[in-house]
Amino acid sequence: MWLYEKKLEYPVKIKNSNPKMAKFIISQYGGPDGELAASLRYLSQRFSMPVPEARAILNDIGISFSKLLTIKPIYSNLIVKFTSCVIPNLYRIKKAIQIHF
Amino acid sequence: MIENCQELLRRIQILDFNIIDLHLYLDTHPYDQRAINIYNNYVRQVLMLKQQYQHMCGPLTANSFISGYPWPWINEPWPWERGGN
Repeated sequence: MWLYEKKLEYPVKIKNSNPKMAKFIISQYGGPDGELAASLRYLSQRFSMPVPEARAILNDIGISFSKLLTIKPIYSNLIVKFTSCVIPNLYRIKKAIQIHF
Repeated sequence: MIENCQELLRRIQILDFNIIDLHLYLDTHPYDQRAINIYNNYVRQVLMLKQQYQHMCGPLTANSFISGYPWPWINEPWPWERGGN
């Protein structure tokens, strides 16, 4: 049913950490009017939709679930940049682990 | 090599983004021959690019590539990692 493609729909380039923005972004992801809830609503509504065009649209927009997979990297990049300020050695540690293995 | 992979991925992303938009448009305009032609044109291009990408840079989907050894699906970077998108 879901087919994962190992790429994003749109590139994510985050230059600066921003915990406040990260908090807002994550509310768009799982909050009360977030993408997660919306996409599941579309996917339920498609079962009782009588018009073929609209049935297809509900199905295909519900599947834009993949948008969630763009939101999530934005969030984690914002946070990673934040923690890497708090713990300056984080990236060095990560590099060391990568070299070790 | 990396440069080429990133450039390839960028072009695939551009085409796929257009394809998604046309796909949603065609759901509500199934008789628009002109849009269908544009859609077909993009799909043909992206299929070729994806084949080239998977050959050079690693798999895009886990169930549609012939794997070498070792299993390459677990290789970094993932799309949410630095340099992965």
